[in-house]
Amino acid sequence: MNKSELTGWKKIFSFTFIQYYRSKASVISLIVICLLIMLSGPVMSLIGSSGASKVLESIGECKIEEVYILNDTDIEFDASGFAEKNAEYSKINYIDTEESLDSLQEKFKTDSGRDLILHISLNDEKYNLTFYRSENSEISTVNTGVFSDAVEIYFKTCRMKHAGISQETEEMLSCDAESSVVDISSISEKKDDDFNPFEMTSVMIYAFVIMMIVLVSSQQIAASIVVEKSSKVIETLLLSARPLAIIVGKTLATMVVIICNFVMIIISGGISGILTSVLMSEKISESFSKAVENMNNIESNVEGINTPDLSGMENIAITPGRILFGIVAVLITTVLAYLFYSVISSVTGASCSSMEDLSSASSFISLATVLGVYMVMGSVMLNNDLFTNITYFFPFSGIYIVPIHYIFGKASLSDLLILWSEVIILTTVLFRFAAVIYQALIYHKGERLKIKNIIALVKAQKGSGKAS
Amino acid sequence: MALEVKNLSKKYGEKTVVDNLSFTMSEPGVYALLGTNGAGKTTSIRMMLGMLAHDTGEVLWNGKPLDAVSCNVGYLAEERGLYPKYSLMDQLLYFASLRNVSKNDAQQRIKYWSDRFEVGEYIYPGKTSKGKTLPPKKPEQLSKGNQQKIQLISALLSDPELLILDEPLSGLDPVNTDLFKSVIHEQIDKDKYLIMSSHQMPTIEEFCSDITILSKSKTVLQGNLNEIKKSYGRVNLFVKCEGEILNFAENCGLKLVSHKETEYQFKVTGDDQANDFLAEMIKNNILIVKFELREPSLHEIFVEKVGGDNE
Repeated sequence: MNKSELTGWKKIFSFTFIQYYRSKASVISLIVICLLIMLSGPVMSLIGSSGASKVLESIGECKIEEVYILNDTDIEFDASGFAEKNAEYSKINYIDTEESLDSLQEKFKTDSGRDLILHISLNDEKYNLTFYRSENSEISTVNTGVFSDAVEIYFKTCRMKHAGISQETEEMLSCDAESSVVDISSISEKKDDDFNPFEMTSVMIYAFVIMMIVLVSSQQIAASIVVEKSSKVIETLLLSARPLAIIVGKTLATMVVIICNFVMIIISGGISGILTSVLMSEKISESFSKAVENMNNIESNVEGINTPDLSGMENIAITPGRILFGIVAVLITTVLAYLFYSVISSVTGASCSSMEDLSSASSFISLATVLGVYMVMGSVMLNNDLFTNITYFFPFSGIYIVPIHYIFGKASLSDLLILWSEVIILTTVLFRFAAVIYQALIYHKGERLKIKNIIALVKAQKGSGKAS
Repeated sequence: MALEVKNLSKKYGEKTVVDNLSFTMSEPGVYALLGTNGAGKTTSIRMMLGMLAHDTGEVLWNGKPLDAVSCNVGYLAEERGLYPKYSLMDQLLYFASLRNVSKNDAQQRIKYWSDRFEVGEYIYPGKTSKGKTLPPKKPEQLSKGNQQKIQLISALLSDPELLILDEPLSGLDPVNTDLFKSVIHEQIDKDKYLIMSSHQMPTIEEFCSDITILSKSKTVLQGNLNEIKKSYGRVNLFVKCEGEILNFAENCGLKLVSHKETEYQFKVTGDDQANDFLAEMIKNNILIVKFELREPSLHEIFVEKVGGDNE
């Protein structure tokens, strides 16, 4: 770029930036958004904390005092063994009873609300463990459910003991068997890291964050480019600055405005989080810790609870150096991606002569952004090397996937450098293209031209004369 | 110092919009670019200022290509425009800074010109009767004339050596027209170079020393206005008298242009024919109140030069 073509861009940048924050409407809307974000967490926590405390308390506290065991089967339910294995239920008084279920139920109508009846029966070749509580029971459904799960598990042990099966035999019998068919020719091509859900999630999250930023900012950037033409100030500006300086100054200023707004919104979210956690911790910390303690006990005793699947992480050859450089790579790619799409927005703005033209012109950005994200989705789902390589080298999609794949060791440093080079070259060319279109269409009035007409006009202008 | 425009041409496709325009301003003063609508005046100005690419030719200021570095230029564009939402003070300071005018100088000049054009109330915050501060008006709230004043202030903020005014007086009321004229006179007195495009011929005659008349992209007349007029000769005769003179005029071969009560306008072929007519009237004791022999007006010259082309 010729230096004289950029003369004045800093003045255009600072004027555009300052004027955004001088606009009362912009500042007020930003303050409102920040306040809403800042206050929503604390307000919601204040409204919801009493209910949450109750729920947590109900999880954290076992209120069961007595359990009447009515066993109609020949399998012995060893209450002391149960209490021994489940320490949180050791304080409960277990009473084996010979009374009929009806009389017990009658008794519960007027009795304390902290007792349960456990009726063990065999019906239709199926053991039933039925828990009864009084109408005004103080024992929550959550508490009862957790208790019943523990009883159910222990009853299985009682059944095994009754049948004379040892714990080892029981484990052997309950062990799952899985069948699969493998094509021998594909064994050599199979890689350990062929599919990694953690990596896929990371790519998709990054892609969607970039896509959101691009979609939110593109219209604003394009509008900022059109404003000089629509307000006819352009001739006054062109007296002192070249179109390239105007495009660069205005695009960068609008980008910085959007970043500042984004940072302010993030800070508001952070403040909201801090305020919320302070308010929440004061109100429910005690019941929460009880709940956590109890949940830990439950987890240790209940089989089949699903824990997050982090198996994908085991296969990743991530070194601290790669993580550090990966973070830098993500940051650089994010800046380049934002710049790249912002320049495309500038081209869109440069091709319009009025604000009315903008809505139809902006559809290209949306299409390009969504196309890139879809290609990335296809790449991570298909897991096809050729398609992944195409996705890497196509800048509209590469910016979403390459830095994350680099962290996970799938993309190489050269992939990253090639992508950056592509984006930098394209961004520079697009800045120039935007400036040429801007100049070619300065005096164009009427309908928005199609891209082929614009290119023809630019060619005609270049071919027919030199810029003065 | 001198401005030279050499062989400037511009085509849009097959259509030529400016055809080989050349002129020189070697002395300060006002140069007029005249022409009918669509003749190529504004396109020529845009090419001179580098806003539009030209196919051939060059524009030089003191022998160097004219640009923002080689020459301090002020420009009042034909298409008036201001940012509708930004304050006028911010806009004027911005335009001044782009012209490399320091903030202090810009503020002083804004004050001077806002007083001169009586637009201070739109630039500076006002006060209510209770002493409360009132924000200045936004550009979108200003009348067309006041917006034009602000734009002329913007053009003058850099104290330009070369001032280009494209239709500066169009749309102004008589009071503001006089105000603009006085400012133009002030710039002429300061030995500035002015290029003006206008359709108002009396105004051009008032200011301009040299002219170029464009018609359908071509230069049809160019040169010093007085010399052009002299070249036409004194062919307009205005007579006010008491008595019947039409017979004498016919005998002398004069052509009557208009007649209203005691006032007559004739076309003459030259001074001799006019003198013969005057002698005839004196001989016949006609009381002569006014006898004025004049060159053609710019309006007449313009119509003569471009009238046929536009028919």
